[in-house]
Amino acid sequence: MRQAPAKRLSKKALPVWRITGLFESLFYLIIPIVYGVLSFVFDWPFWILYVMVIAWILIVIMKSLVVPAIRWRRWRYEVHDEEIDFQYGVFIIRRTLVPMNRVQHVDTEQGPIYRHYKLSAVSISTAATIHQIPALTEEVASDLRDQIAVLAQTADEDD
Amino acid sequence: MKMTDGKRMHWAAVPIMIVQGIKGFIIPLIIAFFIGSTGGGIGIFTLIIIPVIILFSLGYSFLYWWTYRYYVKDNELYIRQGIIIKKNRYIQRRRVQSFDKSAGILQRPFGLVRVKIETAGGGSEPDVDIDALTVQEANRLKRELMKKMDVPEETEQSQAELNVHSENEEHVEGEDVHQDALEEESTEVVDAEEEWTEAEPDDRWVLGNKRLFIAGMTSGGVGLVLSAVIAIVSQFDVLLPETFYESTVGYALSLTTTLIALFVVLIALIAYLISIGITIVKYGQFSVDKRGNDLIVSRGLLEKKQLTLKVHRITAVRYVSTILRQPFGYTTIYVESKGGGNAEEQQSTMLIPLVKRKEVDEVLRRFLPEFVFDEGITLTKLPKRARIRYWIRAILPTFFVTLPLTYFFPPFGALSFLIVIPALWIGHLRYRHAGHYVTDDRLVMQWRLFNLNRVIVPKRRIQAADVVQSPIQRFRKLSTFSVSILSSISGKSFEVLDLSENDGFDLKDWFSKQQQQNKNEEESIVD
Repeated sequence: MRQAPAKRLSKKALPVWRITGLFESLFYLIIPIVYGVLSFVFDWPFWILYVMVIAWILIVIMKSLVVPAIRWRRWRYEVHDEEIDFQYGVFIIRRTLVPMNRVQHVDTEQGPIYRHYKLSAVSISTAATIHQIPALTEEVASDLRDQIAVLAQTADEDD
Repeated sequence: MKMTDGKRMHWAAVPIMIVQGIKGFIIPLIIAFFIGSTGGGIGIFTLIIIPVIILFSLGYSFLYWWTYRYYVKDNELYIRQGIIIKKNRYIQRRRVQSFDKSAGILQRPFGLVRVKIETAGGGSEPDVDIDALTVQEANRLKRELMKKMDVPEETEQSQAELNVHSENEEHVEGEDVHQDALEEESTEVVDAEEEWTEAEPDDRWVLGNKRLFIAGMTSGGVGLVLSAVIAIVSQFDVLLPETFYESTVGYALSLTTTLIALFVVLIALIAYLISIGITIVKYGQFSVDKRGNDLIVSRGLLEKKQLTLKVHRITAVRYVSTILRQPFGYTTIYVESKGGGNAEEQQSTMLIPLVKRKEVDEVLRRFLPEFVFDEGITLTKLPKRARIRYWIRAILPTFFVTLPLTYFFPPFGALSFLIVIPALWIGHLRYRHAGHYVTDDRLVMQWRLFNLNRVIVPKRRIQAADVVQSPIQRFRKLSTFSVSILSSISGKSFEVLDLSENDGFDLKDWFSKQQQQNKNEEESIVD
């Protein structure tokens, strides 16, 4: 692994991801619930339910504790004059490089949870791709957006 | 704007649209017909529903044609359409990405063409789809929309022509549109009477009969045709009288195996001939014309299609050598571009359907000099340690077939494990043929799924580059490199799996201006 980009996300990304992770893992609760009901009706073995519940608890731990921590540790970005460098991923790590002169527009976005934590995400669009830096504090995000917008405008059109 | 502004399509748009509309109903109609005939409801069905459908589509088509208006003015194409809800659309000429002219089976009896115009961004449907225009009118429209913004090399004559058009356009502002339209057509007749293409192109590549035939023989379409034939045959038992069916099956069963084998071979042969025929109809009279900054791709025996691409909008060139064609040294050249592209070809545009690998350079030099690459280059191949991953990746999917077969059909199901051998072979070929190559301003990537793909991307066309590593790849010091480019609808990305970690990051550095600058600085310090 070569030298990673310098900047990290806001620490407040962690509680946000924990919450969303918890919500997502609620979805998986459907499987043990459905099995529980069916096993009651059809007299299916009960121990499978325990296994499912334990599996679900593991999912909760993964999604709301382990994964957010790893994700935060991985997530790096850096804006240079000529390009933007990203590193992200949980198990699979992706390094992405977007030249400044390909940037078509930059947006900041904020959902209800982000608003509560005073966070913003920055989306960077090229003609073919969209890249998002999640969970930055509002000030950092708007500064970044303005910085990229200026750099993108002044970058050489073609080389 | 008044209702009378702009031109209508040719009147034949009405019958064409009716037939097109009914075409969509044909299958439900046939199904309904068969269901109806057994239920005894056929009378009501044919008496009421069919006339209603025809009347409805007649009315709709007529109103659509009546309300559809277009004209070009001040570098904008203006379209007004809609029967109840009016839709006005302005399309700026400089945003036009491709101009597609085709003469379908429905258009040809009237000597008309259908025009599709695509602009930057947005949707799989063409932005403008005009069902019926005379060839002259389509050519005029094309000239209006595709002429260069600055017109340096245009001849005086065509310059004069353009002037005529813009004058005419001003007339359109006036009251009597039809008068203008007629006048204009009469001025056009001289230069574009029967002509499909307007003038002599700068350069031209023709597929020719020999290559067309080879393309047909190696198209690999047999499987599709064969399955279609089998599907049709399997429907016979429903349609044919039972006694006939029984007698024929009984007859077939009484035949010796050699005769049955002969019969199977015969059917396969027929399917093969059909698939050759399909290719010939689709790609017959294939030609590529270069005209200034435009590439004009024409093709089709029954349904003529013509697509105009702008050279500077082409973002990548890809050669695909299918498994059937590679042994004969043939390849197909596709281009990725903003605008153009069709679903059949994974949103790419086929530029050259069949050409010898050796001739690729020459063809590209004539039509897309930016993409010329020496065929003889040696790609940077994958490291040895990547091989086992390619093998495993190829073998794993076969277990989805072999394991159930082994479980449910013992003992012969286990024979299915024999497909591991070809799978391993494919995996090995994938490993052996993957690679990359860079120069200062261009990247070549090669990979195989079944067909061998080689893509040439200029650095300045790359929108973003990625180096990806899974935990195992990190452990084995491998990486996957991918680049995204702009293609017809949205982006497209190409990747090579399991490069050595160093190669992956070197490619990223190659793409990074920052890194290039650092390197230059270092070099200058050394100097």
